[in-house]
Amino acid sequence: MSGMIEDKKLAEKFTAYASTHMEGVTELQITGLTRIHGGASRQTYSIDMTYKQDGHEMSRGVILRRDPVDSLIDTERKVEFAAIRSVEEIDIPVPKALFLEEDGEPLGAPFFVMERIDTGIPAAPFQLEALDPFRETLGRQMFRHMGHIATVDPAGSPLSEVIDTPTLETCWSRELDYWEGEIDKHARKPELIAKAAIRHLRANPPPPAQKLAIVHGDYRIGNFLHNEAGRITAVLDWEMAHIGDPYEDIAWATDLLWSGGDVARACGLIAWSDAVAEWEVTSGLKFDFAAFEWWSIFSSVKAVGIWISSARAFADGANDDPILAFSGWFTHAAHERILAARLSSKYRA
Amino acid sequence: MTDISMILDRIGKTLAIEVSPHLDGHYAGGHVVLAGLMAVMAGQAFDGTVDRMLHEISDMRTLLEEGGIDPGDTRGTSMRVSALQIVHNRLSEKLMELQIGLEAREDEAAKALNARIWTFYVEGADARMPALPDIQAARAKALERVLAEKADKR
Repeated sequence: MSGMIEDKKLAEKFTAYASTHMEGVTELQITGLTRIHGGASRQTYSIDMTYKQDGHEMSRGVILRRDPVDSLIDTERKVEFAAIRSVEEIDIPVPKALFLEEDGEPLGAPFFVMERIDTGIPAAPFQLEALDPFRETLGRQMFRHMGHIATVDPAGSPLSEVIDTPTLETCWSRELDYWEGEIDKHARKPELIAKAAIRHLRANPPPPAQKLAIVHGDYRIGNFLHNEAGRITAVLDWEMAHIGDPYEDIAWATDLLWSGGDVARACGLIAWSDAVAEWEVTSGLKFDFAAFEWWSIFSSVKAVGIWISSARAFADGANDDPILAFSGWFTHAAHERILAARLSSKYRA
Repeated sequence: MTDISMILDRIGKTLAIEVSPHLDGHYAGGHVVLAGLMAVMAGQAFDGTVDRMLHEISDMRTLLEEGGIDPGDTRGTSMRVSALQIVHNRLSEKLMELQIGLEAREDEAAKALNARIWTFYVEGADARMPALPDIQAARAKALERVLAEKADKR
């Protein structure tokens, strides 16, 4: 796949960088470079290149993830890179992590490069019917892969070298503290529902984690590719990965906003009993409804935190991408509504 | 011409339906879709926001008074949304304070008033929820792009 070069300067800089970092490579040329959707707060490019290696003509597609030039956040790329390397050995499809560059000099900001997986398209969370007749097959794989991720021992993993590790008892409070901090820092008006939800979560903590695990952090429909024939070909977007309670992933994955509002099926794909069974068998963990319930409400709080941060970035003029305004408005309202409906039933009985 | 809601609705649909296909494949194409959808949403909000805020302010005053907290005098407040938002924020802070107090109590009166606050939250969340314009392709594109965006994460 090749095509237009949207940013010639970036292509030149990347050519120089890749030429010196790919062993045995000569005559490297960029034949395509296009920005793709990967979020406004970071820049994601699809790059095609050709080169000679050991006398053979080669071509390769890669994904470049670069922080914006004015970004003060310099840890995300490192975390994503380490997370992918931490799960490379288990039985889930992930793109190979190629380079991590923390120096802003080569491309103007820290970045990382991973291989591009050309087999598959993203599963669209708001058009789940397009996944028919493979919904159940994909759902089984989704929960199986999630369970496999939970089997990775985080101790000694590359991820453990770049972020801290909580205890079994502090997984929940660390996450809740972080997202409450984000809400408090970025809120532009009193967040009555989110703050009431946070108080509820603190007053009703979950059981300690059954184990410490690598948590993807954004595991859901939309963050995997599938081959349109019922096979997941890549699990993507690891930049929110951390070490914590594996329930965090199963709760986030099944949030109603990206499950088509389908309460009957997990992720809008598969019967809940089948989803839980796949996850239990692969993870070796026992499904505990109390833990799931806590992490599920937490997921909506975390989502509100993300949307509030987006709105703040837009309102402050830090980033003019309209997606930030849309998520600060529409999706914020949607998750507030989910939280209000769920929690009111506990207090209005 | 002062039909602001209608103007925003028509401009938004023009952007999302007619203009955006010309930018398919370009990053900026997503901007146009979102700008269009939000223009339609803004048109809806233009018509209903003052009414919604006045209802919420009235409801919060009632809850605060029943909880023994003086909501202060809000008479004479300008009907500008920005002025109403200031009052709304002030009452919201007081409502949060009231609710925290209620949560610390075990008596039935406290539970009943807390339940009414939750009813207020549910009704408010429903009222604030924008109706996503019925432009299927634009809706799907916008929502998928939202999920690709996770600004200022850990």
